[in-house]
Amino acid sequence: MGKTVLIVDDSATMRQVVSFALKDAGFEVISAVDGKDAIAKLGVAKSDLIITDLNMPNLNGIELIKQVRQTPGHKFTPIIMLTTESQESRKAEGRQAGVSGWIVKPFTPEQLLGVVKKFIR
Amino acid sequence: MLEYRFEKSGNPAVLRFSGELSIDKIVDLRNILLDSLNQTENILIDLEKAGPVDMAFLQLLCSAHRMALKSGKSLSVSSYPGPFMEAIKEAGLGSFTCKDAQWRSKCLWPDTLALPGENL
Amino acid sequence: MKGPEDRHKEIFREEANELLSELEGSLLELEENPEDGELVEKIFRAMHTIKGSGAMFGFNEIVSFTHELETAFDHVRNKKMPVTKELIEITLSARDILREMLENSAEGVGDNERAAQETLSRLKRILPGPLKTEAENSRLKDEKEKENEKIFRSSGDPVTYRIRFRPGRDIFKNGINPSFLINELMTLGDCLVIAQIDSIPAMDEFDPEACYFYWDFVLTTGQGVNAIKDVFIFVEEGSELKIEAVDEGDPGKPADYKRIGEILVEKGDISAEALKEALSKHKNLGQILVEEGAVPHGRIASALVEQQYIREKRKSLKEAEAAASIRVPSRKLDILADLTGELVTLQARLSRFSIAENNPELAAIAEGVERLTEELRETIMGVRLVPIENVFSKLKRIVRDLSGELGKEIALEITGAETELDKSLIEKLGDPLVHIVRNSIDHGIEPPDEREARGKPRRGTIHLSAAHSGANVLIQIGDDGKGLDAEAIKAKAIEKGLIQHGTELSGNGLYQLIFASGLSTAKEVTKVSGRGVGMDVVRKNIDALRGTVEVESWKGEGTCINIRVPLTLAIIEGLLVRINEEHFVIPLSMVEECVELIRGANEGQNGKHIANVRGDIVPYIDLRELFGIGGPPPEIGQIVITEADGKKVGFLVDQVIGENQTVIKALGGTFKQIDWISGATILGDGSVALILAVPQIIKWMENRETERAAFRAE
Repeated sequence: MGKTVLIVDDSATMRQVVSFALKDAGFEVISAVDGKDAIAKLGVAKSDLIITDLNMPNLNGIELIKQVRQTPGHKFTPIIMLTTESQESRKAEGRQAGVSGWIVKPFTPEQLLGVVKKFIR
Repeated sequence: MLEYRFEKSGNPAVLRFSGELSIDKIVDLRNILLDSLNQTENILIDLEKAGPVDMAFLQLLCSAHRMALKSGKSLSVSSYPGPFMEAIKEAGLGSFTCKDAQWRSKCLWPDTLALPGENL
Repeated sequence: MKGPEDRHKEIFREEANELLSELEGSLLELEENPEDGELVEKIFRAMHTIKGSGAMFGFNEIVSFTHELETAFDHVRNKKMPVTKELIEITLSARDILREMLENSAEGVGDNERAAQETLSRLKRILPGPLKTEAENSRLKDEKEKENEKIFRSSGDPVTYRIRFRPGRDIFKNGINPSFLINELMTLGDCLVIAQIDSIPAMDEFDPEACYFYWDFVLTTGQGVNAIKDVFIFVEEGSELKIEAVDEGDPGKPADYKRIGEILVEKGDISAEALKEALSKHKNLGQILVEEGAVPHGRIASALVEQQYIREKRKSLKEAEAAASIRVPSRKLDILADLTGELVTLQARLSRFSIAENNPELAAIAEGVERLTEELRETIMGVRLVPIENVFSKLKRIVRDLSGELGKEIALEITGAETELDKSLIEKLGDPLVHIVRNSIDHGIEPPDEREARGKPRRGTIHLSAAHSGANVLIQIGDDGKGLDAEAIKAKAIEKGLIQHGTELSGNGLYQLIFASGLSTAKEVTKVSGRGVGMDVVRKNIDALRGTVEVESWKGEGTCINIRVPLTLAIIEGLLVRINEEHFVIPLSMVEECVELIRGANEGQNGKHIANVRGDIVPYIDLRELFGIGGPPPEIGQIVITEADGKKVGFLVDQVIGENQTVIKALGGTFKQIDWISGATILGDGSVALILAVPQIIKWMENRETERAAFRAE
């Protein structure tokens, strides 16, 4: 059974890039344009992994992570955040909220898959 | 959806699980195990129909086993079907990690690794 | 045809254009409502998106330009900067530039740099802090690259690591499943996993969402320690991760591996004291430790697994190595080296002959033979080279056992173990090194309490190092112990008649006396270092290798013994000299310089020759006199100044002919008795040259001086 990844980003480009790389590797991909959309999508579709941008309108990444952790069935779902900064403070904030890992933009599809495979197969 | 059946009439009483046994249902799984254990002296866990298991479930089994031993009861696993055995090996579990020679015979985990004679 | 990359780029352009259109509207709106926080957020996000997505496809110009705008709006949103008409204006023109950049990037033409620079400098003037400089930007970029690189890596020789990973209890709650990490670790190489389950409580105290497991791994990988760390990159915070290299995968290592107790102590699973106590009970160690609750069984299992794993690894490595090589009795190698030596000699004759004949064809042949001979010689020497590690590893055991026996704590540091030298040398170096290390442990390093009282770390250090230095190998054995006791050495030397009362010997000269026979200053004779035999034996052994040994010492701080031996016994670089018709070779490694001596100027008094070398007084030996060679000495002689054991001594000869590579022949029969000569060599013309044993000659001279002085004193 294929695993499903939810990509949350307000940038169409990023959604496209991530989804292309993951579909190529055999994952199902669904997209959400912001945090609010993501919560809605989680309600109707199964997601084994969430990849989220941090800066988004209508519920930013950190808030989304916190909410996902409160959502039934997603307490232990791996979440990867996309960030442009590699500062420790950002990671600590993510970790606090319950993030599983991160990847710093820009990245290559191979790098993305390398991180994804730390959490799902 | 957690599927299980507890047949407490027999000796040992049998607790059968089916489907995926993982962290997502771990609190329920704990409650089922604890309840069942409270109702009998001798329990056999049957995982023939179980799907994939994860580390959270493996350590829950270990904890339940310890609970049983602590209260002078008996808890064992009927067999090690494919997905279960796979998870055990992957986690690096096996009777070799158990307490000592006498305990090893009671250990929940199968012999996954042959250890050499202790060369000191 | 367009690849996915191009399609992505197109989507990015579309998206960026859309955002830029929106941006125009937002900016105009913001001018009307400068306090509208939501608008500021929206503008910031637009910049952020253009920057982040642009970076994915190498729109570098756009990325660095947008970065500055993003910074400005970050200030605005953090209320560090007001929304002004000027800001709006600058941002609007920046928006236009961005749009042009996007179009140009599609067509691959155009230059927006000037306009961009202008806009940025305008922006800079209104920013509260300085803009990030170019250097800083590139630093940030490097950091990002490094960050992602951390996750992606390169490779080298396989090394076996011992890893303990103890995740934070809440690891599950961050969506992390350790089995994926274990899986990833297994992709790095051969890997054994041992789960530790001693932390799992019985159900009444069990939190089903916490992680109680922790793991030991034994992993062999060529990808380096960073690749291992990268596996755990997202859990390093709050987890315990210990990675130690335990085996470098060297086929030369014995297949035997550490004992279980040793492994457990190394890992910190039990203390050395606990091990000692358990061992004293003469039962199965694992059983005792578990019975006593000193260590959970899983830890012992893990040590056992490591032991077994590494033994098997070493065995298979040895087998692979054995399959790729053959064993040859070293005697055969010696014969081969001998024959090569003869060939070298013969080839030298051929070369000389061809020069004399002046025949181009013969010269070409001679050259060819010379080249091949040289190559052959180097190959043979190379075959005989073995790493000094073989000797060093023997010392490891001695340090470990002896320090335990004497109640001392000693760390052994080794550098340069891979240094290669001739097999026969390696064999002969073993005993001297053992002597020296034993001495360091016994007399050098103080007991832990004493060290502590002196403000030193309780644990002493012995440092072994080897390195090539020219045609020699320099081996140093240093310790941070108490150093030599100059007064005691002096007193002892006087008592033994090695030096005269009142003789002034500076520190280092005095220290060299420890190599004299019968001088042991340890107040009590211990069973370890014996009774004063040792250092003189060391000296004899090293002399026999045509090497030198010196000692340096600093009171209270330590001692260092420096041994120099030639790379190979079979060939030395020598200085060929002549007296009358006789030829001698002086090992080049001992030669300092050559000076001229005008006869009659500084003729010796009392048979003692002294030369003045740029103001330094250097005693010299007249080889003509020493070997009783006849013939008249030339007007101008030459003195070859040598240095051995820290002392300079000259050798007077008729003529210095030059450097040559000398194949050493052992001396047989009567010559064996003469310890001034360490060997002989056959010259190109077939004549024999003797190789001077410089240290022995110097020693002989000193003894003679001492005797004479004593004689005169009486």
